[in-house]
Amino acid sequence: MTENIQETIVELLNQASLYGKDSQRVQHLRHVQELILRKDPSLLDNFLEEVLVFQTDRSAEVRKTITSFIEEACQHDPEVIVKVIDALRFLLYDDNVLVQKKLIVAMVSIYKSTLKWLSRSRLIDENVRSMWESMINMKNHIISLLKSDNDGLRTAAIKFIEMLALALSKRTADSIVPQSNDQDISVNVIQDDHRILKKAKLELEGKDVMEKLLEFTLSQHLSSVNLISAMGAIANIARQRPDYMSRVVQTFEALQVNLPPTLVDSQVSSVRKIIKLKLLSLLKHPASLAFHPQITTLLTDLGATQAEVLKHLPKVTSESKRKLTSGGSENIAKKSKLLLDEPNSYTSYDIDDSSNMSNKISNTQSATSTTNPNHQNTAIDITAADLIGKLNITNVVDLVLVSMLTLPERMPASFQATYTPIAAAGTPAQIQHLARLLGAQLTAAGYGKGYELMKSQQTTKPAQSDDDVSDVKPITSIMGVGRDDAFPIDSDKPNMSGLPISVIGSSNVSSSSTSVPSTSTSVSNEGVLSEASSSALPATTTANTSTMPSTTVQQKKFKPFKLADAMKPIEYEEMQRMSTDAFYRILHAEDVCDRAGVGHVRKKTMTSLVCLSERSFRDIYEDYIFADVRKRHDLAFSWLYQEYAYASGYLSVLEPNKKKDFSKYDDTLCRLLEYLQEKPDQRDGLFSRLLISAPLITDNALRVLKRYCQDETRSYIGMNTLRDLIFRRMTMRDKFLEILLDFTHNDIVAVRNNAIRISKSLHEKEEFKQAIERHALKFLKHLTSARPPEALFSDEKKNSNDAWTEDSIRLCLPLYLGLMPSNHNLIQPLATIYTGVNGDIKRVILRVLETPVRGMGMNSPEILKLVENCPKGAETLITRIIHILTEQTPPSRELVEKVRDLYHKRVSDVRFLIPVLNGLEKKEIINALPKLIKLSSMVVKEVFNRLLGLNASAETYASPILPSELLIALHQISPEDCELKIIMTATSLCFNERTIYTHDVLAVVIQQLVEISPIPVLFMRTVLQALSLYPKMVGFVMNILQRLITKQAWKQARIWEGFIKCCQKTRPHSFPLLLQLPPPQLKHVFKIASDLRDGLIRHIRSLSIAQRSSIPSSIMSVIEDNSENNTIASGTTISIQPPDIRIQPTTTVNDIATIQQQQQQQQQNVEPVH
Amino acid sequence: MLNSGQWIKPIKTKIYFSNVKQIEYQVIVALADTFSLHFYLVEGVDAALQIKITVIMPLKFAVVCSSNQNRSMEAHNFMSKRGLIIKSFGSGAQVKLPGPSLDRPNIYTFDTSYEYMYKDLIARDQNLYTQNGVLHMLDRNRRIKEKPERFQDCRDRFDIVFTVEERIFDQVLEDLDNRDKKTNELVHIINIDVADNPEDATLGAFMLCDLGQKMEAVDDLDNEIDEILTEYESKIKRPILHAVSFY
Repeated sequence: MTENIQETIVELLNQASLYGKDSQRVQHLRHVQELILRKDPSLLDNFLEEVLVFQTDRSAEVRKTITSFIEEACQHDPEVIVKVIDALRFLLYDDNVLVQKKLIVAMVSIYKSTLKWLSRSRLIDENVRSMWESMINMKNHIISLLKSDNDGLRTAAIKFIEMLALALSKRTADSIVPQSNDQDISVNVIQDDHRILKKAKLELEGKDVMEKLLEFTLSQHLSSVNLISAMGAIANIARQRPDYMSRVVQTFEALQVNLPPTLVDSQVSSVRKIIKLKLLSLLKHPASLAFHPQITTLLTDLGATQAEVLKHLPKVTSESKRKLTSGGSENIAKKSKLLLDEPNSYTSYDIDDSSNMSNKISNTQSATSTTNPNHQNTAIDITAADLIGKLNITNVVDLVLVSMLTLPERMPASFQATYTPIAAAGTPAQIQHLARLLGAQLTAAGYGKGYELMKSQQTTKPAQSDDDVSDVKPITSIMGVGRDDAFPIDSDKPNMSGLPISVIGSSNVSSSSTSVPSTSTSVSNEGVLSEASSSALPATTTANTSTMPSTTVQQKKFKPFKLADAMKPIEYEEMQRMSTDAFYRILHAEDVCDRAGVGHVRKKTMTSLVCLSERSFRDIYEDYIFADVRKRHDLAFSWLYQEYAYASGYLSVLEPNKKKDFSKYDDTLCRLLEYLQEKPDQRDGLFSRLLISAPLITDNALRVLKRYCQDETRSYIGMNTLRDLIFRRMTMRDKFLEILLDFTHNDIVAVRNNAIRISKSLHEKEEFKQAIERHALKFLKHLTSARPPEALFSDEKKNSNDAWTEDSIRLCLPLYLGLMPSNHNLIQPLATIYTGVNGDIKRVILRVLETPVRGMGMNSPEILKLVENCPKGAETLITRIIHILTEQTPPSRELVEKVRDLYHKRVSDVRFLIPVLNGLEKKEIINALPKLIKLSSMVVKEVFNRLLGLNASAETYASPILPSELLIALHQISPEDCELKIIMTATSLCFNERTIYTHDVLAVVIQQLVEISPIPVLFMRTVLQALSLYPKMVGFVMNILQRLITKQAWKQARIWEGFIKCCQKTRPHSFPLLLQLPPPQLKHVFKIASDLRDGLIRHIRSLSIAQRSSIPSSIMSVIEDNSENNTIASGTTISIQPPDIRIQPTTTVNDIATIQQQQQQQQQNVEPVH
Repeated sequence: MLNSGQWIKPIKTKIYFSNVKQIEYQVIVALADTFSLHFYLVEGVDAALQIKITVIMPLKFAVVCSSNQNRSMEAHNFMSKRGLIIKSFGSGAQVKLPGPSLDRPNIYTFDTSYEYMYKDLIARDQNLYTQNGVLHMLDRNRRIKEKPERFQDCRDRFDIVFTVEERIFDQVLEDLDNRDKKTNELVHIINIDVADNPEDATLGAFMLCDLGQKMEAVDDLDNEIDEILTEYESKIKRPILHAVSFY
């Protein structure tokens, strides 16, 4: 069997050492392990070497397997350790973390088994000695791994330390040891005279590592895994070594309020859950009885229900209770008896060094008063006991108030998670708990009675202790809840620096000894009592600076700490400099603060500082803000608000009746505004934003705003700001409105226009309407006074206000006029006022009227009303209004009606009609024409323009009278109505419009005129004019002349005159016509225009015989009669005359007329007129 | 190397070359009781180079719900398909399944097989239990393992224990605390709340599996678990409880 196994092992080892797959090799080695250790342990010696070879294997898995092999081997036979210690050391320094971890875990059991083996073994040789040294080295290395970077390594180290703390301490009667660990080593089994195992030293070491562990548990930057492991470890230790119960409970206490800040929310809740779990398990432990109040309070804080707590409470027999709280004499007797017992037996009550002395003290002081031996008097206990009495309501309130100052801005995550409402506030148990919490904090910060006591003890201790135990414990370990770094500022309790401590210290120290016992009414009544007395004593010793425990009890007062004593006033300049420097630092921390997300804190700090400080900070702050105002304007805003809050007395809770003083606020606001005003770039609108969001606008600020608005380039923004202010600031609305309205007659055009623009927009709102109109009217009324009002002028021009100038007149009007389009009613008062002002002003008014009137439109009932009830003296105004209205659009019917009414009934000034001419009927126009053309030439021209539609576009314009009709009407004006000359001027105006009076139109006019009887005086003039304008009309004119002949034009002298003139002009076309005249008339013609005769003779000569013969002889005789000389000279006169031919003049005229017409038609065909 | 029916799981390993800094490869490892490795080496890399491989032992997972029926089994199913080594447990005193009404659940002991429950429920009211999905669930469960297991009765060791309810988390912690300590091996207990209904169970299984794979992917889990959990917590926006205990 053994042979077989041996062979198999060899085979397996060979395979494992071959280059193969790791997993398979691990498998082989496991198999080997199984075979050797389970089947035939005797083979271990044979194969140990071979197996250990694998410790240098490449594969980490193989090395881990070897580690577990060694572990099991050691458990099997502890002596093997001597052989494998080197391998273990090698593996401990492995570069693979997993292997290291595995080894540390293995070491937990190896160390125990080795210790156990050593304690039993009497035979110690060199090998064993060196092995133990190596072991110690390894142990130290593992302990040092507590500071490793690797989380897992730290966790493993915690487990190892837990084991050390357990193994190197004494098991006591109330230790609850799990079954599996029952056989574990404890110091109890080590003999006092062991050669290499020094019991005392080992025990001390155990305490030391325990302290390390506790310290580690409370260190600041712990991962949650480590924390949970460490908590598990200490709870475990507390269960198995009740001596540590007090420390562990304290640690939990401290931990619960001081969780590492690095934990995230869910980790905090996990950790709290574990704390709760561990505390509940401790609660079960009989040794925890004395700590039940603390534990229960803690558990309640952690959210455990009463039922949960009760469930875990051990069934306490009255006997055990009595035993725990019984008088000291019995204990001491028992203890002394036990101490004499042999070391292997469990000592039930052990006293550690720190409590030793206080025990001695209390023993010497009083036989009946003693400490509970289980209850170690650590610094916290002492301080807590000291504090209990001081926690009266006044002090607590003070503490809370003072701590408010250091309250963090945001609730830390750990606090949020750990906070539970205090269920039993004010009960003795809770006060005790609070005292302990405070005690922990104070001790950690190096204050309090307990701390001082410990410190003094430390100085005395070395003298008493063994030589072996010479290493001085660090103070932190004495404190019990020492932190590995400085007292945390960001912990959830506000840091207990100087101030709160001094408050407590100075107020109540003197009464400590009397007040403490009186409050101790809790379950652990006696414990507290003894604690109190023992704490009072060390205080005395400390005060006496005596290193010897004194037997005489002398209550001497502590000298209370006074802050004022320790301080020295700083020089004023120095103070100034420091504060300024500090302020600069805050200013320059912009980036840092933003990154850290505390920008708002910084802002608040700065504004508060600036607000409270004197001038210097404000200047700095201003400069800072204005250096980059775009980015920092919010600082300015919050500053302003702070000033306001300060000025309004919101901040001064202490002096609620303080008089409100806004001068600083005013100053700040104005300075900010002034700066923003001067800023070249106004696009950001900060000026208006500041004004709009300012909590209060002072008069000075208004002044700045006024200045701003008067700046030509900025008035736009300024006015808009003003408008916003009017809208948003109800209380000051009237004031702003007044300012705005004052600007409406500012002498700077831009300012005025902007103001009017805003006023107009405001005017649309019902609530402002009245005020604005009232103001406008007020200014309008100023016009009626003899001199311009002072309000019109800015300060510097005050002296020049003696007379109205055009400028000053104009200033009064724009707002009013601007309002008119939106409120037509306003036109009535205007008209009224118009009647009352002098000519200059009237002229100005008329001039500026155009825009508003046009804005109102001719359909405005108000205008119509005004036209209807035209006040006396306002005719010109109305004319102007109507004129403006009709300038570009034809007048509406209503308007025409009204104007007509006015014209007929009241004012017979024809000028009224001009604007509405186009709306009138033809007859009316013709009737009015004589009057119209009598007006000045400009007006006449305007009239014609209107009538002819020259100014308006063709489509919309429909004149009631055609151009031809107009001209005809002009001709028909009787000279009685109008002078001929005026009519002539009028007609020539028509002729000038050649685009309208084309020859077609003229032809129509002439044609119609010629039919009128009598022919209008100006007819021939018109014909001549037409002819001169359009020479091509000559044919047509011939026709007309023909008509005149038939109408016997010679009966009208003027026409006849014109006829002759026309004939003269139209030579040679007029010759045939002349021939048609009756001889007397022809003769008359020749008489007036003798030159016609020659032409006519030449004409006749050029005619054919037949034509010639058609000329009546009477005519011929008239011609010849006067041209005798000519015919003789030519010698052809006689032959020309055909005496026998007689043609009726009428027919001849007709014939010639037809010929003429044909000629004309031919001409027209050849050369089109147009 | 791959036998049918064996677990197949990808493990990220680190391969160190003597002259190259460090290249990571996906290595497929077939798992059963043995390990075997296949390398798919990148083209161009000389396979003869000295290669030192760190093979990380696959993590052993456990999922605990109250009855080892819905949530834990869904996760068991899901994660085992993804190649994780997993066992599932219940932590309650008995196995409870929905009954005809809320206050009348069907109660079985933990050693009742899924098969039995399946048939039993069919016999009771096939319609009802088909409709509420219990039969479907049991059908799936009986294909995975024989019967429900109680966590407190199991002495297997795990690296990670997932729980799906805070109450179960507490139970598991307490149970582990009260066990006899022997090896001091670390175990992480992680709780993510999952509601006890089929939809949430599926979602929960996915989350647990995802988280498990993330844990599987790192070299030194103990060192990195905090980071993984914090990150994952912010990803799924649910609180994750995490504690450690020792075997």
